[in-house]
Amino acid sequence: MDPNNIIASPRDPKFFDVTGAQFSWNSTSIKLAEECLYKYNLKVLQGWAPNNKNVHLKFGGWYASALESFHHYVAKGMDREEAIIEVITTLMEETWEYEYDDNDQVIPESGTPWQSDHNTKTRENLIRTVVWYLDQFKDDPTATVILSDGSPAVEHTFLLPADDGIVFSGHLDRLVTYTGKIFVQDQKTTGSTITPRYFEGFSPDTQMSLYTFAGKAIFNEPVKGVIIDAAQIAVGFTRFERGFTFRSDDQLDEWYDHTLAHIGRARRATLDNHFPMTRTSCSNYGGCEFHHICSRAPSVREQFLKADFVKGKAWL
Amino acid sequence: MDIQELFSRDPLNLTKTDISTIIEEMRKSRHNFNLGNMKAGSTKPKTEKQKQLEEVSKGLDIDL
Repeated sequence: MDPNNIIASPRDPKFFDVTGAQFSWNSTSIKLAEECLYKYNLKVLQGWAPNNKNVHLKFGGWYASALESFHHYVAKGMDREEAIIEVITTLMEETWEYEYDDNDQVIPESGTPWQSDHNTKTRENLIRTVVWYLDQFKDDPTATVILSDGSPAVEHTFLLPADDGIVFSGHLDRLVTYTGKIFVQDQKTTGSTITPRYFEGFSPDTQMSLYTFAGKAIFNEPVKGVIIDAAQIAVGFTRFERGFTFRSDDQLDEWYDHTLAHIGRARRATLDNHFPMTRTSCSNYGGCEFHHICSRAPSVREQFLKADFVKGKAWL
Repeated sequence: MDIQELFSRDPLNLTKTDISTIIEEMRKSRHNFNLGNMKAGSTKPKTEKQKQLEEVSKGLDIDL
């Protein structure tokens, strides 16, 4: 599970205060608050989620987790080839849907391979992508930062207090040095050809700003930005491109100021129970998943939500 | 080698050699992709025709 996409019960006290307003924010929920308060209410506060967990989240989560584990093993001294075998073994097991007994133990010889409903983000292509990535970046000039206590800066889940009782939360895959500078490293997957424009889309971008902000604050290192290793997943191949997105101190100051304003707006909307739609966002990124709901009359939306979504899990 | 059979097995029954075989096959497909075969990494089950071609190619010392 990618901790940047934590599933919680709506109004979980770990994320919401006694007024019902959210105080613990990760990049997913910040983006929702920036994008549309109506969507924020449906997704975070009411907990409507697609019937099937998004294949992109599953695939991306497994992929990032496998690479994190690999870097962790190697930083701890494991032989590179052994580390590859280890992460592929784990991936094969994680992508097999076992049946469980009454004691929540795996029933051996049970289950089936994970069946993806996507034409390229499949189990086999996930394994291919991890192997190809690790071979392509075999002589990677980036190196994992080793912290003062001797531990490698990988797989770091953070809770970072901000102003006004707000906490930023998230998960950093890896902190690396590259040409003497320190960056957060993040993995992305896409079905599209990766162009310079793809990387330009990460500035401005809340996730990358939060990662840089958190990297600086948590590790007390002069983090310059994020190295994005993007993987284009196609039927017959996976192609990788590496891009950079930089954040200066004044950019981060501005991001912090604007983010707290967006959070404040979402918290006030929660207290007032008033969530205006941002209609200019409806068609962004291939169209909002709730577009066909919002296009209906308010009186019938609940019925349509019940048909296509399940209630009870909130993506934070 | 057709690695679909390994993918269809309970992973708890896979040996280290099986995992190495999967990795090696993935590496071969990457090598072929780098040589220009844009379908080299396809993990779809092979058709009978593809299997026959593979058999023939074994005697020719070429990669398909």
